[in-house]
Amino acid sequence: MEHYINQFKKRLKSQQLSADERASMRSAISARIAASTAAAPRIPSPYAGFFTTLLWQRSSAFVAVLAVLVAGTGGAAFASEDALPGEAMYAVKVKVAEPFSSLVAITPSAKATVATTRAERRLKEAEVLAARGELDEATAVELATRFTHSADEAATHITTLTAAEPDEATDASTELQSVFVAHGRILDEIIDARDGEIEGTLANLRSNIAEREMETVRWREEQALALHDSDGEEAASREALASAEREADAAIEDLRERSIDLPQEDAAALDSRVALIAETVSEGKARHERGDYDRAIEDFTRARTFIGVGKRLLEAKERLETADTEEAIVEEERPVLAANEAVQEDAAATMMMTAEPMAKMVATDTATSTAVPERSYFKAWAPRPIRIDLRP
Amino acid sequence: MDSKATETAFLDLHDRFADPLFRHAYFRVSDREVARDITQESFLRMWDYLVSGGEVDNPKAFLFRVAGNLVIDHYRKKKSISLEVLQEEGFDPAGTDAEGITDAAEGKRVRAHLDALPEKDREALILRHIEGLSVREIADITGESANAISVRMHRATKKLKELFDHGALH
Repeated sequence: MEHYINQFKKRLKSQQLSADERASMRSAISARIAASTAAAPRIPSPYAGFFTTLLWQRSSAFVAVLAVLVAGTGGAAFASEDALPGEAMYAVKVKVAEPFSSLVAITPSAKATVATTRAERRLKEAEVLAARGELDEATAVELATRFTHSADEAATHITTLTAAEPDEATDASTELQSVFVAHGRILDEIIDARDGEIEGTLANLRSNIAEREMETVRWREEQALALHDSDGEEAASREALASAEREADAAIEDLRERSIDLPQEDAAALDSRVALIAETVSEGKARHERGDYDRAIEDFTRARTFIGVGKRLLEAKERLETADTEEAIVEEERPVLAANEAVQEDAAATMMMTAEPMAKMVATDTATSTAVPERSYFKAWAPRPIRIDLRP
Repeated sequence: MDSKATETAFLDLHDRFADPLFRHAYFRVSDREVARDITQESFLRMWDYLVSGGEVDNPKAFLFRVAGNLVIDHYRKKKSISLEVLQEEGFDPAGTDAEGITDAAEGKRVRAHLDALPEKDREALILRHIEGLSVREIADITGESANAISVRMHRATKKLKELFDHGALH
């Protein structure tokens, strides 16, 4: 078998692009880069001049570092997506991979997205470490500082965007608000679960997020008032609403499908919230039909915020339960995993194996996946029933 | 904005990953033109994603994931993904179109055995052994855990060995 496969691999490896094909592909990519750079709207940034000069003075050095890392590590330098503070790849993540994304984010909208993503990543990192009980105070301070910087940056880009592209500013703000709402809930759950262990910077971070959530809500209220005062372009509003309706319907369907896999209590909590979102969307559609475009936009914006929160809570459940599972691997099981990894590497070299290591690995999987109690990120998010107290 | 510096960085990625990506697409669609288009489109989509504010930490995994989706789109357009139908349409992995992928019955045999594996197992095996991706990178591409990929590869390798052993007896 090895003989055939090695021969097959050798022949397949010989397949490569010709010099002409490669050059043609490079030209097409260069053309796309030139087109997107030229098409970028020129909206003056409050940081124009100083910031851009500073960034691009550094960019040549950055490109050199990038080239060295790519060439020298076989691309491994980029495998940093899930790296956490304290891990070797974390520096690559925040000092190489993330700045690369900044370099190519051209429009204010893209810059806001990058900053929002980055702020959310710092929160996710804090959550995973806190859930494992590995978040020390120094790391918490570093993450909180980086979060604050990125969240401020996102808010600045949204403000810059407001005058020229109010719809894009609203979209970006909705996304940012979803981040604050979702991660506020997640941190609440973690702080409750680690009763008494978490205080100081992480608790302050939770307050920071709550304040930012309120700021975003206030900003959006001001925006809504401004929209009411202006004579909006009706055709544009209708088009945006039609698109928002389609997106909302698809997202609601997606959340409903995903709730099926949740434990019963979580599924019930998510379903009740999704029912409210669907109600908001229905109301928005009715307002749209009545020609009340501004209020319809408000409905869809609210629905989108909660859809964003729902998606993030689902993702957190998966992510943090993985973190729990890793934490739950007891020391005596680690050698079994290590042995399996060694066997895996051996199999990679020879493509030969026995059934035994796989059986051990499956057994280990089963052991670790049943050892951890599940947390619920949905209970607190479910709408509270309204009760009227008639007692005197 | 110094677009030249950005362009240089992005084209560096192209130079590094174009061939492995092309090979991967070629193996799966067995058509040089289509594989080339898929390779180029993967880079263009990555660029568009970055320009829209998306973040890519692992370009290699991202590109293989996009290419994989484009391969699926390609077959959806053709309304078929089965090897049998492809062969009926004239696809011959050992034939002239493959230009040297394999020119022997052995190659056909390997290909047939690989195609007998479940799609996800086969993909994991090819990414690991043909493209040399790490288990972690394959997990990034397929969205599964590294452990799940390891199990897949163990299972696929065992199955492949059985197919070869079985074939050797007949």
